[in-house]
Amino acid sequence: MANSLFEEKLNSHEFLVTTEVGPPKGADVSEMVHHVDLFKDKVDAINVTDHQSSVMRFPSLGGCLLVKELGGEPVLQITCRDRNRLAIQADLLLAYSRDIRNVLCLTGDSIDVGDHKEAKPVFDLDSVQLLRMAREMESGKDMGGNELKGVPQFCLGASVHPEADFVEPQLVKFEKKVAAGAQFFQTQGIFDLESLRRFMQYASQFNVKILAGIIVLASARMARYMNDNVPGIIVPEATIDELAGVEKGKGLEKGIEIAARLMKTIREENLCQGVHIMAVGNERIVPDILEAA
Amino acid sequence: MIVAEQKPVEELRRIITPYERILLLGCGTCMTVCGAGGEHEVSFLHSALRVAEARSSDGVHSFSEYTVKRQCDFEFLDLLVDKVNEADAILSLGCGIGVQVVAERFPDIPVLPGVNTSFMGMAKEWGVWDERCAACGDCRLAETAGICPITRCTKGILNGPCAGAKNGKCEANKDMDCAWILIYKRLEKLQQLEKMRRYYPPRNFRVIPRPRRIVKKADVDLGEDNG
Amino acid sequence: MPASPDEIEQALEEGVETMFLVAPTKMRRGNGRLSVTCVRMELGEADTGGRRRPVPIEDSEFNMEFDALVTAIGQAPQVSEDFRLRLGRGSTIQVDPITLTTNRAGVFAGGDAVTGPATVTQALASGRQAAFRIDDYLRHRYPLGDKEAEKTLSGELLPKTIEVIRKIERLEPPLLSPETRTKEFKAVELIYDWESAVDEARRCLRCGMGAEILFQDKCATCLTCLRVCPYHVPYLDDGGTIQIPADQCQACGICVAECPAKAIALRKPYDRRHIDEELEHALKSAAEAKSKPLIVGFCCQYGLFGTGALASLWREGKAGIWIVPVLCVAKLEEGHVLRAFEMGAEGVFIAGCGEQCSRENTAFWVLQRVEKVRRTLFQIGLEPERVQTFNLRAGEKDTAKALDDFTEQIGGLCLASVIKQEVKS
Repeated sequence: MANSLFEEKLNSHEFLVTTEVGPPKGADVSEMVHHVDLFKDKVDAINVTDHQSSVMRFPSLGGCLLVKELGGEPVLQITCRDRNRLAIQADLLLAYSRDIRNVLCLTGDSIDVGDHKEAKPVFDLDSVQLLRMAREMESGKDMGGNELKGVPQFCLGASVHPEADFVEPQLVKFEKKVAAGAQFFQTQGIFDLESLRRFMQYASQFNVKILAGIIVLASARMARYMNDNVPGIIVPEATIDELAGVEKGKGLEKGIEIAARLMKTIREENLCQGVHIMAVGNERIVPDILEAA
Repeated sequence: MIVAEQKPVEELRRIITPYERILLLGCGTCMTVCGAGGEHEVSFLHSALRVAEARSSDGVHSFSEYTVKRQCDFEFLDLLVDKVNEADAILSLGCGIGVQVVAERFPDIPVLPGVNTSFMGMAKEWGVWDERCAACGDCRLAETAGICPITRCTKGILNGPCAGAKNGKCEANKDMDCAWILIYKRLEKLQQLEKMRRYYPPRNFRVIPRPRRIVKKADVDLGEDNG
Repeated sequence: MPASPDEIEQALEEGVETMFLVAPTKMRRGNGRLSVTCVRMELGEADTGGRRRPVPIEDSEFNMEFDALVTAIGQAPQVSEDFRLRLGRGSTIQVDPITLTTNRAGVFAGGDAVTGPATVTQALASGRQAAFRIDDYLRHRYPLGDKEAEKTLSGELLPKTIEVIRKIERLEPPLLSPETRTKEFKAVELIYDWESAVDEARRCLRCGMGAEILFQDKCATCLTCLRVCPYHVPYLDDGGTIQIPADQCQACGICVAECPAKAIALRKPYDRRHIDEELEHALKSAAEAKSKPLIVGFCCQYGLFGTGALASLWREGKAGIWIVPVLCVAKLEEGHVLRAFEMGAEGVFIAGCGEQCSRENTAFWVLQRVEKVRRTLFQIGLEPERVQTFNLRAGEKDTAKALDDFTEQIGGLCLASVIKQEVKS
């Protein structure tokens, strides 16, 4: 029996599409609501990011509640950067009680890349330990070994980085996450389908679903900025050149084109079980990509 | 070894403002080795403070200096009794431990810190010190080929790496190598990669309730029969 | 004593005709000329010394005529018979090898007069030895005979040190041209010019005996000396203690200045000539002369002689600038610079020999220390520009201009601070 709509879809053989929204820096959620409305019926799940790039924002859990209210299928992102094991377990209980069952378990970007550089980094847990902990809660006990009154159930996911410039340690980590209980993976941005193919050759031995992450870039400058400053994103020169080759103002169009092209190929060749579209800052164009792909 | 950096002279001048006679106290062990508070630095600071004093319109401070072998043991501080009697404050260039021990030994005089104690580390070459140990109290270097994930990984994670490394460097500090890539490579060289494939449970932070204490003497019963 | 290669070279340049294995046997004066009978020689059996002795070839006599004949068949001491000294082979004075005493009480001898022709260095050594012996004699002490024998020789320099030592070739002094030389009796070797003489003097090896860890109890074995020594001299012995072998140390002074525990000092008293004392002396003189603004210049003494501008300053003093000579600015510590300010200086400059410095890494260390002083000055409210570095090897005019500019700048800064003070009050 699936724990959530999304888990049902994971278990089917459909090609899945998920995307994400970035909550606002502030209490005014109207734009986020607008974006969710735009594509809640067009995608299989919507991730709500959790202080992405260590920038303080409206929390993922709050965002997921909103998605639920609006009739979408949320994926809660939990990072280990800001909360210790007590707080995370508590959040998981709250999420479960509100029918938010899909959880993406992340270690989290370091404090230094964000906008509160003097904050204390928590990292009481890492992503592997977080996965294990969530699975252990499902068996009725918390981390301290105490019985839970009201036992949660989750659909757990994690991230993986097939295009890392030194990929072997990432694969070791991937296997640990699978062993710890991850059911689905949303990868870091894919730009080179060859490396996706190679990764899938290795990953298909495991009973997990892989959704290829597709980042929508708006310009060559944005690509370079991400290369220098955003962890986990490596945009290859070929893509940057492609973006640089268009006239001013057409960058986003090109980005959409590239994203759609990747998505199309992945779906047509069945390279993996789906895609996860990341268009943070430009969420409004997600429907356009879906159209074009 | 404990590594520290001397506080900027401006800050030191602010700290000593309320006091007249200042004893500059150096330390002959770690602070000498890391070049933050040995006799050389104390002497230089002394000179600098005197120059500043001479040029200020309301110079009230006078200074004396002394360097003890270590500040973290009471016995070394017994030498200072006379000097302390002639001072209104002690500016200690010992590490945080030294400052506190001096304060405990001489509770009737303000003891001020002259350095920012930073970490336990090693000298890579002259003039360059790198952090190596966090004193986590639960050393797991056997599992990570002698490379500490707590100090050398910015996030201090035990099941590494994260996805942030680029060109082998940490996402947070592009001058630092990603510790987990180093660990992977060295485990590979030692043919012990299975250590990295293991699941490491969350750290036991209970070993670090502050302040920590280690007791080496056994509790023995000196009853009559054991005389 | 065989002629030196230089002398042979020069002789050939002058067109001297050399006849080998020819020995004069008879000389006759007649008709205003000298008639010399010579016999040809050949090398015969080796003697006990291993050298083959020349042996005359029978019936090979021949005659030559000369206007003048100059005998240059060796050197011998000219010891007056009145001295009543016992002489030995080659008219040398006989002495006891350890005490250097002659047959007459209270008369000592050394140098070429004792050994026959030898080097200047050996003569100096025996002079020094004689001084000690004379001291013993006057104090009715036995000579330190056995101890002398025990004196350890300086070891060979290790390759790792030799590699780093700057090789400065000997500057051959210019010679009079062969044409000039053959016509007169002026000295053949000309003197060096000022700068060359200074450069040559800088080649002094200083014969080691440099740094030692004077205060082992202060030494924290931080390994700074080991790491900063350009010559790889300090090492860790088996017991984990730092050793600085006297016969390897090049006495550059870097470790002395960098030791965080101030545990290292230079062995030789004149190397240890305290910069502080020189500084005090300079500043006292300045105070007496009531000169303002007061600028202290720490100058490398080796190079000082080669710079007209600074050397004359050193001798005569110019309004406001006082030179403190240092035996290579590598020895100048950051503390010395601050001390100058403490003692009233408004500006400090450090003048080294730049590329000509015979030691390694001097510029690097001077700049490290200057940076630190500048940072500290800034933090106590003084302008970092009050410390400057100059190169003693820059041209005369450049040095003079740099000095003038610096003096002006310091003057300006002083004025500014005076105004600031007045405004404050």
